[in-house]
Amino acid sequence: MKLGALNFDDFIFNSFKMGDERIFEVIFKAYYNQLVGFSNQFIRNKEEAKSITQEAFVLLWQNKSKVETKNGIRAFLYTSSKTLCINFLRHQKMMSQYQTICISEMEVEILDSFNFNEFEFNELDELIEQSINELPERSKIVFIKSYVEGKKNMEIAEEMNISIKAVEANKARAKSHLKNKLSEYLPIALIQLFINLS
Amino acid sequence: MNEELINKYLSNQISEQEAWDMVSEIKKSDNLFNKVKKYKLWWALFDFAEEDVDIEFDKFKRKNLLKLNSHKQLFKYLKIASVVILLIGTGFLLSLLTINSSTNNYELVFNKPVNISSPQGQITIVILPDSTYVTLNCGSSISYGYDFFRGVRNIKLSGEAFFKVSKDKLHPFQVLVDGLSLKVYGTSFNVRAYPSDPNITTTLVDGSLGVININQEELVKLKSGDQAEFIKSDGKLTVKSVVTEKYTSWQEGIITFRSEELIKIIERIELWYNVEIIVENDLLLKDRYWGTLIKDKPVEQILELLKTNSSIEYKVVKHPKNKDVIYLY
Repeated sequence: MKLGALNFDDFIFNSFKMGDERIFEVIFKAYYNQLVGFSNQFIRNKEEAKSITQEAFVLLWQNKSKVETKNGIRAFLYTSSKTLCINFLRHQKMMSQYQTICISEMEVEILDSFNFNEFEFNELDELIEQSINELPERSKIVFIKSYVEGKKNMEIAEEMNISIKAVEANKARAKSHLKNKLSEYLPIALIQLFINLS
Repeated sequence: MNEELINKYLSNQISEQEAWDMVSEIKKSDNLFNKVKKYKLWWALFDFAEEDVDIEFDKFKRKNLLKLNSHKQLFKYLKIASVVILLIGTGFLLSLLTINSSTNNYELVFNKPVNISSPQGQITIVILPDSTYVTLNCGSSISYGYDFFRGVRNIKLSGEAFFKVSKDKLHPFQVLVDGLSLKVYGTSFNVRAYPSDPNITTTLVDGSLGVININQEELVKLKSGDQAEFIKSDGKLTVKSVVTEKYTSWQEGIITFRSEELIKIIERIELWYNVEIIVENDLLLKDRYWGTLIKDKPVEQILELLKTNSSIEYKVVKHPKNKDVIYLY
């Protein structure tokens, strides 16, 4: 069973095309946090990243007739986010702490080079799924409940009958494992930096 | 180039001086630039924010309502609005008539009950004159007499509905179904009483609810989370405590299961489609599934989905008089 991405079948995709709000809500909730995370890596401002993501979903709703395939939904969302990030970076006057001018210029160029229409989202999903499957059972369940089902720490603690502290610890473990996995994929030693992040 | 620099860059720990060094190096080598591009892309794709998506979606809807309004949505709101207008309109007319015309006249006009029904494949929301919300499931209907406006809050129901009754201690709210009456003062509950069902199932979400028989005797008082099942054929009544969401989620028109065991999914499908499912291989019951289903689609579509995502095969046996039986193996 595939994890990570929504399990679109044709009729869900058709419902989306017909403007079914319920499906739109499902899509929103499935991809929102991924897209905020993505934009935030370039914008370095959580609030701005959130408004960019919201704008991307408005564009998706307004342009649903132009989305032709199931995978196109995700490609559309990332492409819109990318364009909105580029606009933001170009007009941004104040640079945040880490955002020196040269980095910002380079990142506009980097963003510009991304082509999500050709991006293999399957590869991303598989990598995530694979690394989740390597987790100890409890961390795996916590991860799924938290990142796939969007549940809050307290709910998870109640459902699994463990402490909130234990939920947090398992989440941190899952997250750092996920990023370790990424560092295997990208052959550089990122490991100790991930620990700083989580 | 020093990979530690790239690490620092990706994790936002690079100093300004280091940033200039890195960028000038990158500008010299296309290879290096491509490598950094790829790392940055994957790094960004692997970042998840931890926002509460329910809250975020509500904010999103409020902020972008105008931008999102398609014709279809507008139509939906208009439909609800027209029900409200109809009711206000009737009330207004009633007050005009009671002042100006003879008793005979208004008896004649208003003895006719108000009838609202939800067609097949559609869920309808109705706001009653006392601001009670009623969500009608497919193929269900309610009706009430003109004295509703005077505080006689009696509703006849056929089919399934969820009631969110507005509080009024002086005027009880009663739902009349096949031989039973459910009496409340202000609470939320679900009633399932399709004529074809052998049972009348009442699920109380909060507050208290009295189940009353045809002779006006109170059979039982339900507490929140209770479910009363009344067997029409022999008049037997059983009460048990349940997870109410399972019986009220039809209102959303959507079933979402996430990492849910097949056995749970089967319960939902049976409830939704009024079918019986028999699993011939017990090992399948523990398999977990992710997916989203929209109601009102043929059950075969769901079975197909299960089939393509696992090794399950199915067979549907139609029973014209009874529930269809689906075998999974």
